Amino acid sequence: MNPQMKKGVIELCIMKIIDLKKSSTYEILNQIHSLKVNENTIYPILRRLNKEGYLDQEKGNNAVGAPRKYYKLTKLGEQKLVEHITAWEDFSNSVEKILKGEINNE
Amino acid sequence: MNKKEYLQELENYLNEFEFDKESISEIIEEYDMIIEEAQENNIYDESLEERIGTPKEIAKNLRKTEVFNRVKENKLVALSPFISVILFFVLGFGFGYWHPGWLVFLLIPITGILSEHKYKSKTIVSELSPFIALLVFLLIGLITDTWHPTWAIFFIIPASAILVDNNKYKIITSVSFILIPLVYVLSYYYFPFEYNWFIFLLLILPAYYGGVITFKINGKRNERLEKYSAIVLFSLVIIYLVLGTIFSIWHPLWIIFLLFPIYVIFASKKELNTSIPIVAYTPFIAVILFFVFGHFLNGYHWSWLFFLIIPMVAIIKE
Repeated sequence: MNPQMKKGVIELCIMKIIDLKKSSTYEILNQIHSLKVNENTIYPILRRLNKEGYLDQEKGNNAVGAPRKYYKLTKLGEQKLVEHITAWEDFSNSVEKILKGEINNE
Repeated sequence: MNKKEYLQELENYLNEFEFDKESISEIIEEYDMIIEEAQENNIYDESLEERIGTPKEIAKNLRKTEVFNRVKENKLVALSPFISVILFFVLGFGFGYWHPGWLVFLLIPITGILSEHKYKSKTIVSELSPFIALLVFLLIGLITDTWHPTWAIFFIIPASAILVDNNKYKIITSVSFILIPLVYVLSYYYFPFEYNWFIFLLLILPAYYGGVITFKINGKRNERLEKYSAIVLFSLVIIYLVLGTIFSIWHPLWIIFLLFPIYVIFASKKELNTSIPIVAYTPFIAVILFFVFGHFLNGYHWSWLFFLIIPMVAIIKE
């Protein structure tokens, strides 16, 4: 997959993981690990999304060790995630149609 | 790699890539938490890098993101190469000022540095000093033809660099880098004597204590590279002074100083045992060819074409 496209997909996955549950960087790294992506790029993406105002960090209690910081989506982040999901669904539907031979030659 | 080593290496790379202190502290704090959480989940030292990434690659990716954001924020930086080319053609075709019209290309690095000013104001003077020195040198040289001893202006580069550093001798060494060249210039005009360039030997001590030449490889200072670079730089200064005095060719003999960055790139790559990217050399080769052909064949109106080798080589190597 084209690296730029892959980056976009990773960004979408990161935002969805955070949308489902406020997460620490380690938790996100752990979940993304199954996608076999370059783990060196995850924190830089999180930092950028945070700086661009799509994410916020808040401190949470930790039963065993020092308090952790968890990422959550901001209002702007929620809107961005909807845009990302819509774009992804349009793209994957089109790809699926091509793969199934359902191309509309209008 | 254990937690302490990991965080130290990450901090070294972030320092090497010139992240500001606030960003470094945020990133280190974050990785401190990531490692703790990894350890709680039975990810130990040997598999740490595999699970959370390597300090070098993380720092590189962070740098890419920061640089991209800065360029995105400041469209002027992205436009500056095009503005420079347009101005250069207007000055050249319109008024015949191919030389010194090429000086407009200095707008590219200057715009970049000024945009960075927002992020690290402390280093602005030090980063702009090479361009200020070059501009003053060329303007005085071209207008009054006194290339010598105007070249002494280049000592503002180490003088301002020392001030940025956390060195306990920084004030005295920085002032020495201004005063000693000034004494040389005064001696040239008011109390000339043979071999008065020996005055520059007084700079050896401030250069040593001011840590004028510091190089880092893999985030750590490399004393061997520093020592050899100092020898090369010192030799170039001596060659310049000796040949300049004997043959009176201060301009364009100063071009030999472009050999210094070429040497540094070559030596750093050798220390790292990596292949030498020709792309890194092309800007210096282009400047040397531009001046040599421009000066000796009076070809400033066409020798700018040598600058095209920079993007051409980059495209071929890519």
